[in-house]
Amino acid sequence: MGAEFILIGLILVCGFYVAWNIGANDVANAMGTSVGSGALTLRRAVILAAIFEFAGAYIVGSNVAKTVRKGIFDPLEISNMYPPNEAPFILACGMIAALLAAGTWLLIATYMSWPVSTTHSIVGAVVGFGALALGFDGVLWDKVGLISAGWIVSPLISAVVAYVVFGILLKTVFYQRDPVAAARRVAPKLVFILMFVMTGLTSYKGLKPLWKKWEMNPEDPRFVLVVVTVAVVLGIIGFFVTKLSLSRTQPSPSDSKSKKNPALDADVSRSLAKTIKHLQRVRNNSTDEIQDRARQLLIDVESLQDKALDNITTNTDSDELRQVEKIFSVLQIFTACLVAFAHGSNDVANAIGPLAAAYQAVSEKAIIAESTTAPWMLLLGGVGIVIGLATWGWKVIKTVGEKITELTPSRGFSAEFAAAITILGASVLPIGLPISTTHTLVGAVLGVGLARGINALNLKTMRNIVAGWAITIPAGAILCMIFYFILKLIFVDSGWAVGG
Amino acid sequence: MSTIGKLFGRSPFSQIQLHMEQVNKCIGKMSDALDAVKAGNFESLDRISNEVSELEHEADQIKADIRERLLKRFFMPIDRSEVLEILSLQDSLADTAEDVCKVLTLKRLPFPEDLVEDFDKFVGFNIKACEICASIINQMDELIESGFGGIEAERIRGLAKETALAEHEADVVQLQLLKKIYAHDTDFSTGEFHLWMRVTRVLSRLANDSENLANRILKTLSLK
Repeated sequence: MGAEFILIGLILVCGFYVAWNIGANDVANAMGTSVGSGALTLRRAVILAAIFEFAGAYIVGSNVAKTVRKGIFDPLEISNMYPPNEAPFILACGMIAALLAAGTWLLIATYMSWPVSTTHSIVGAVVGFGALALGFDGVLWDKVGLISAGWIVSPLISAVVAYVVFGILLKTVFYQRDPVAAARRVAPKLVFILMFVMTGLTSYKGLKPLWKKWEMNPEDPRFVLVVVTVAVVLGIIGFFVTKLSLSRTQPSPSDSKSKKNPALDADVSRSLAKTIKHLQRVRNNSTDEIQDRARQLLIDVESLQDKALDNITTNTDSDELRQVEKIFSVLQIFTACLVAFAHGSNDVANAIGPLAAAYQAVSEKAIIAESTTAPWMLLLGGVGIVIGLATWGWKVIKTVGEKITELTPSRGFSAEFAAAITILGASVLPIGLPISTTHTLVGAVLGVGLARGINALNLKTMRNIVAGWAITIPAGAILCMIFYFILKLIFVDSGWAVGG
Repeated sequence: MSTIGKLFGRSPFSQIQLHMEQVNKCIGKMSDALDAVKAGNFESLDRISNEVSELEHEADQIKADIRERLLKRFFMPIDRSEVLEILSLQDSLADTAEDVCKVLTLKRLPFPEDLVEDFDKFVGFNIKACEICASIINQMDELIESGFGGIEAERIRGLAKETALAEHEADVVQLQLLKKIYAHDTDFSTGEFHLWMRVTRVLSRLANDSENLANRILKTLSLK
């Protein structure tokens, strides 16, 4: 009997350690930018991160956990391959080995400061165990392929979304003649989209169990309708809250100043430049009276253009852009929370997926097809992340935050918005894809850079990330195999657990 | 894990602004040297010239520093080669300022009264062109902030136009000045005459290079 308790203890400790690791290292990426841009104090960032990480893990976390435990190999195959009294312990040993391997690899990587991902090491480790226990063909390679494809596609998607979001910000805010007023106008709409997407994706996932409990079909169009309604209502609430809080802040003195200068418009001068070009064409391709008229008009338009340029050169001041950033720093708090939420929803699976599989195998002494991720496991994962955040993560947030001054609030907003949507999307897909939060965020930052938003990006980091993939997966697999052999020797081959 | 933190390279733009500031200092000192020549105060000329050389050397060091740090793997809103071109154009302004001082120390430059007015104007337009350029470089931050477009870009366009205008005016005044110098050709010795020619020629490079610099930056601006 003793072996079971030791195994369960080992399962919980290892799962908790991986969750701790996630909280300690990865949460910094969600909150670092906000702390760096001064939108949040460190204390508030830590509290917000804790709340949203936990909520994400608890509400949406089970979907990806399912993929980690059942999507990489079929656990039922183990009971077909091994004698029934050994099979559950084989699975438990394998999953503990996977957690240990990921934990060890993260420790090594952190020590060597390699940019590796928790997700990749866990998936690598589980694949390693699957290949060892079931043979090469036992691994569901098409699903593993899908997961790996997700690793490549997710940074690309977030890069594209970030590029588009920042491009829209440039057009609707920064290119406007009064960027501050434009930002005030645009901000509530952005909050609406944010709330809509976030609550939509969350409630689509979070309301499902509720519907099942009432014995209603989640595929019912009414379900989608409820989700959309909830999302719209919360979106509208966000819209008005932002509008109110922005209107309460003092309108800047430059508002009235720029109203006096309606000619102060980049559009105006650009249109004038086009007019000049067309008039020149008319002048060059015509004769007699038309040519004379065109020449006259050209002179008029050119003097008008000079006047417009004069207004532009004398009447804008860079303080406006700073005020815009202030507005965005408020919005960035939303997106930072959203990233924390999405991160919790996706990464908690790294700890909980193997934990759930191993725990169930040991406690039920059988591998059963119908497996659910118990709420207390998600709770454990969430608490682990929060404790990691509280004991170590705040330091990392501080260092990362100090480094990221290059990311102004508007850029941080775009990047986080894109990353959060991508991660949350991957979490609620029918097959919950475990993707790397860090890499998705890196992709998003690159997207902002592509839209000419960032001073200088060091592309060497890209190379390191790709190299990190190439090392992490085999390393996770090999470490997992080693740990598996040791654990199997102790618990299964000795007959300790099996006999008891 | 600071992968995101590591993602950011060290921006060259604040360094470029620092370089331009140094260049501006060179030009300011150079105008001191010109004042000394006008006042016939040749004793202080050597000292000022050395100071300009020193400032120019410091600017060179900043330049070398930027070039060294502008790694090929950096990804920036404007191309790496564009950054280097902007830098070398800025550098040529400092070089010209140093050249002017060096030329002035070669020989005592006679300064007839009737040249003073045109010469002042000529120098003024050249320095004005440089100053507008410096203010363009100074607004680089806002330009990046607005993604090299929109109203900021329009403002830079306006400034570039002013630079071109200053260059044009400098050319016009240079012609008048040259006419007057040629009228003096019998008063000056061959060496003195040649020195005048050189001083004007070197000085006019300031406005020309400023215009090139402004145009170079214009090229990087995006149209919406």
